[in-house]
Amino acid sequence: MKRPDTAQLLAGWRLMRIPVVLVVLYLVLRAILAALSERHGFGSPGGMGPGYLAVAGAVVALRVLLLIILPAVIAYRTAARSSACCTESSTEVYDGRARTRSCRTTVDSLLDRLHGQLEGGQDAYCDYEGVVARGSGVVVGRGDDEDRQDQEQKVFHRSLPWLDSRVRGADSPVPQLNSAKGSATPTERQGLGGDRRSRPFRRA
Amino acid sequence: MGSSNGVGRRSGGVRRFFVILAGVVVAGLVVGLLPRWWCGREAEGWFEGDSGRVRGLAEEMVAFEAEDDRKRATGAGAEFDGMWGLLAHQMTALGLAQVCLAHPEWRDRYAPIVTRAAAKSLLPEMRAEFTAAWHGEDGSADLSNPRAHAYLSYPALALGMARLVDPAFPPGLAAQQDAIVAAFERQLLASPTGLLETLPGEAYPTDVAAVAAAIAVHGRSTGIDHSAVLAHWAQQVRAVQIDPGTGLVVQRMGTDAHAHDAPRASGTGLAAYFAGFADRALAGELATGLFHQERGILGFSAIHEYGGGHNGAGDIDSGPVILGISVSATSFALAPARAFGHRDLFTRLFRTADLVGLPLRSGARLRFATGGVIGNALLLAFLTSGPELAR
Repeated sequence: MKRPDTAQLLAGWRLMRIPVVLVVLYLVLRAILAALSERHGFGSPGGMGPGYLAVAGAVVALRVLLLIILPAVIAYRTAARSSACCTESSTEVYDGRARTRSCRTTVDSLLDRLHGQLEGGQDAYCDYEGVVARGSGVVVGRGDDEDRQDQEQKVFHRSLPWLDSRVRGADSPVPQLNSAKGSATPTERQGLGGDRRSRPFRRA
Repeated sequence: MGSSNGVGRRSGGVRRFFVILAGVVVAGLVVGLLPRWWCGREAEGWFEGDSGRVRGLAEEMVAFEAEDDRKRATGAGAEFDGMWGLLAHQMTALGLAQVCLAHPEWRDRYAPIVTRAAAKSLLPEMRAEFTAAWHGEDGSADLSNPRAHAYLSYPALALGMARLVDPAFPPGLAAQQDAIVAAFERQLLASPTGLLETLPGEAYPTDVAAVAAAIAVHGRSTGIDHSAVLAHWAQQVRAVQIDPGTGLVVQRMGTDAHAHDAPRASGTGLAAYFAGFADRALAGELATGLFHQERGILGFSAIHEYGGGHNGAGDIDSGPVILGISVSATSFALAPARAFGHRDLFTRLFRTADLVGLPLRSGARLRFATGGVIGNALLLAFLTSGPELAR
C-alpha cells in the first residue's frame, strides 16, 4: 500500500483548515445554544439575556458563513484549480504551499520561461520553485540548483509534450532551458526580486 | 520571436480569464443551490403538515404551558405576563387548535391544553399594559361600555378556538366569551368605519381583524349567525382600511379612518391571518398585498415592511427592520402562504425562517432557538395555518 504523501496531505489540510475550524466552532456554539435554550426556560425574556443573544447571533453568522460564503470560496478555488489543471490535460500540479494558483502559475511560468529561453533574454527566468516530473504530472517543489537543469528537461519532455513539439517544430533540437548564453545564475535569479514565486515574466 | 511571446502572454491572459470565469460560474452555482437546498429541506414537510415536525413544535409549546402551570401552582410566578404573555398563550392556543383540526387523532392530548392556554390569555395580568393605557379601565369589567377595547379580541379568539376543539370547554369560560363577542358585535356594527380602539384614540385594523375572527369562530362553535356584522367589517376594511396604492392595511388609524401611520406589511400579515378565520376572500386580498412586499435572493425571501412611497423604522409590531425587511412580517406571511397554497412562496419564506431561526431538536421536541417562546408560538400558528380558514 502506498504511503500517503505528507506534502499532499498538508496541502489538502491547508485548503480545508478554515472550513473545518469554522464547522467545529459552529457545532460547539450550536451545542452551547441548545444547552442555554434548554436551561433558560423556553426562551423567556429573562432567559434571553445578552449571553444568549450573543451566542445566537454568532451561530446565525457562522451559519450564513458556512452555507453561503465558504462554499462559494471553496467552489471558486476548486473550479479555478481544476480548470487550470485541465488546461494542461495530464498535468497535475502540486505546490508544497498549496496555493490555488499553483496550477496556473506553473503552467504559465513554463510557457514564459520557454519563450524567454527561445529569445535568449537574461531576465527570462520567471518562476522557479524547482520542478520535478513525476508520472504523468508535474510536481513543484524546491530542488537543488544542481538538479534544476535535469528536472526542467524532464518537465519539458514528459509533462508538456505538446508544448515541446509546438516550440521546437518537427526537427528542431530540444532547447536547453536555462542554458542560453548569459542566462542568469541561481543567485542572480533570486536577485530578481524578494519573492521568487509567480514572478511575472520580465524581459530585458 | 516577439510575436510568439505575445501569443504566449495572450494565451495566458485568455486562459486566466476562463479559469476565473469557470471559478465564478461554479461558485455562483454552489451559492445559488446549496443554501436554498439546505435551509429548504424541511419546507415541504411543513407545507404538507408532516406530523413529525408539527408534533415536535406542538410538544415544545405543551412543555411551555406545563412549565407555566407548574410555576403558577407553586407561586413561583408565571413564565410570562403582560402583553407578551397574552400573545404567547393566545398563539399557543391557536396553533394547537389548528393542529387538532388537522389531526383529530391528537385532539385528546392537545384540546385541554388549548383551553388552558386560552384561559390564561384572559387573565387580568395579561392585559395590564392596556389597562394602564386606558387609565385603569379594564376592558372586560364593563362590556356594556360603548368604547371597545379591541385587545380583548386576542383572548376571545383563543377561547373561541378552544371551544371549537375541546368538548370539555368550561361553561364559565363560554359565558365570558359569549359576553365579549356580543359586546364586539354591538360595537362593530355601531362603527361606521369598522374600526374599534385598542388604545385611547388608536385603532389597529389588525386588532379589528382579530375582533372579526373572534366573532366568526364564536359563530362556528355556537351556531349563532354573525354574518351581518362580518359583512359590515369586510366592507369597511376594503373601503377605508386598505391603502389602494399598496394593498396593505394602514397600521394605525383613528376611529374616524384618519391614518396615523403608513400602510405596513406586519399589520397586513397578521390581519390576513386573522381575517382568514372570518372571510376567506378578504384574507386572500390582504395576502396578495402582503406578497407584493416579498423581496428575495438566492431562493430566500423576506417581507419589506413599508409599502411604496413610505418608509420608517421598526417598532413593536414589525420587530427589527433591517434594510427595510421586517422580521415579524416575514414570519406572518408564512400563514397565508400556506393557507392559500402558495407552495413556492412558502418555501422561500421558510428558508429564511430556517436560516435565522436555528431549529433545534431535543428528543420529541422541536424549537426555533432564536424565536423564544413567542417566536415558537407564532410559528406553530403560522406553520400550521389552513384548517382555521372560513369556508
